[in-house]
Amino acid sequence: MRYKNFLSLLEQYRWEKVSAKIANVKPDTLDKLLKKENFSVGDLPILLSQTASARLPELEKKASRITTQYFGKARFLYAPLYITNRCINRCVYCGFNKNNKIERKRLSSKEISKDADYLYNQGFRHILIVSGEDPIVMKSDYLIDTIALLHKKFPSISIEVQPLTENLYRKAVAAGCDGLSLYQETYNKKVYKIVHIGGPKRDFRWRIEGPERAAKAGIKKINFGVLLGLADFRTDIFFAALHAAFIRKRFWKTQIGFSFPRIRPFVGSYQPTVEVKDRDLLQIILALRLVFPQAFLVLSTRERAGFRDKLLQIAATNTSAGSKTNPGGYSDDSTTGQFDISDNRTPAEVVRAIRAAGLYPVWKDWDIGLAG
Amino acid sequence: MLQIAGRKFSSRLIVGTGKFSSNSVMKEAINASGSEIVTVALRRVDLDNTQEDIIEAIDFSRIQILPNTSGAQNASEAIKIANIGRNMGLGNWVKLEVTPDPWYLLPDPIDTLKATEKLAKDGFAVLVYMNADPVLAKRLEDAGAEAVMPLASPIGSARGMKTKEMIRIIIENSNLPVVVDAGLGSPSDAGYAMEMGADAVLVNTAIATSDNPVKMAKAFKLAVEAGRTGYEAGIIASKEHAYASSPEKGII
Repeated sequence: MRYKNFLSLLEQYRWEKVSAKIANVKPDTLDKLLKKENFSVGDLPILLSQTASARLPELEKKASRITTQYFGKARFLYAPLYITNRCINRCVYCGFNKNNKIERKRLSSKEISKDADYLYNQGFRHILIVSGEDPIVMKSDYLIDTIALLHKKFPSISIEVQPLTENLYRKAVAAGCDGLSLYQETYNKKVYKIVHIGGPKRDFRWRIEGPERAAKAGIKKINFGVLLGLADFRTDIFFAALHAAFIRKRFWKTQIGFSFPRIRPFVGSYQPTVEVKDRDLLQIILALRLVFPQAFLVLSTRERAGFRDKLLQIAATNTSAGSKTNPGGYSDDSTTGQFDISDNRTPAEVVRAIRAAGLYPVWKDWDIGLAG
Repeated sequence: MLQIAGRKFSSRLIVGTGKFSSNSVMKEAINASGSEIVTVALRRVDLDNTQEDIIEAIDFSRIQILPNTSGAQNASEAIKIANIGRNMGLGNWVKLEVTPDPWYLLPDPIDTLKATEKLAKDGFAVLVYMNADPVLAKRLEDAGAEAVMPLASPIGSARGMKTKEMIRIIIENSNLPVVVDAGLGSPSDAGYAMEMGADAVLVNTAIATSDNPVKMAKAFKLAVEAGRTGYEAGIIASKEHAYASSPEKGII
């Protein structure tokens, strides 16, 4: 059936029913599934189940083979560039929460250039622009001008900011933006309301429809994800995958990817309600690789060095390195970051580790001629 | 000898540069393949970063570089990228790839044709990645292409010559060199394409992602040579019944 938008597809599902399905996978069902060569989103409840968590080596073997087939030995580098930590949201899990007493900073174009020059000299050619929900983004051309400024040097620009209007996405594309990261945080509406206490981010629908607006506007790559630790991650990942699969079919020229942020220590007192262990994260990545052979699977420096290296070897394809999560952090590290970094290696060190694993670090995988 | 856009080549194996584990492995594999044409994704080329750059690893004196437009989703992007490559000093050869669908990277016939017309008019030698569509092959020939490059199966899939019936027709009808591209998984796949009369094959994934890329490059070299030599010698027809190698008829 053809649904008019993702929300109407989502409404066909009950969270509890999906959770129950995942919780009750029989070993036989899994056995049968693992004999298959190709997997679909419908197989995810089985692949994400606790039953499957006992079979990670098998999943790993398959996922690793698929990754090599589609990506070869190439692994792609990017760097986040935080442009503002002003924020009108109150999200219990985030260091930029409006109520947190941290120094707020919005970078001027000069300051942005300074950080950008630093990243360029490190070798980066793909920048992810990150911001808090700073109203200036919606009210002015601040973001668009930033994209245009960075696009002069960097072939590939992605954004991780609040959900925009279709018109703003269009302007972003025209300025040189090719990628969007927009995580729903959780697809569980109840939990969503609990953790987003105040601000525009409380609007579940505006956020969930963001990828559709972006795809319509011509954004070429869209990254999905949930904040791991908010709700049952197995169920949440299933819905993120459903979302990505919907976009893929509806907007057939759009490339999709996934990120896997786990809640990290930050300024504030929120504790994750659900523990997501390393082996859980591994299972998520393996399951998504089996279902989406061509998807970008993106790692941030939230994860530890050794674990990141391992994930890159098996199935992850994109990684940041040497990241700072505070605006201006590359030139002046005096403000507080959005979250703590676990992998403190320099980009050069990360690249060395990628090489040591027999992989090829790719800094540039996009061309100015492909954007705008 | 293989002749494309007025240049002659003794090797009929073209190799790609993606998916290798390092530039040094790639270099060695290219050497082992004997290839004289090497394709490079322009979106990966970064003349500002010589240490990591693929271009630095290629010996221009021996090898014709074939920049490709991979990543382009429509004609105008492909044309833009081709021009960026030429302006970088990479010459006027281009492997045109227009792939709007990021999943199977299947080429868009309509925009591929449009871009071929424009690039040929602008002085490029256009080698065109295409689906195995015999009519499109003729349209591309009319549009000024220098070679057609029909896919054997989806790129990277290693599924072999799935489109062989259509490729047979393309080879039969084409006045241009036919380079079978994409999906060749094993040396025998490449050999088979050559036995059918393909002028050349292009291989990347099967070499770059094998356990031993250098050895595999050599295997493809041998298979391509064997296939071509067999084609030139004239392969006998297959038959329904057994016929003894040393006939006894007429002995008595």
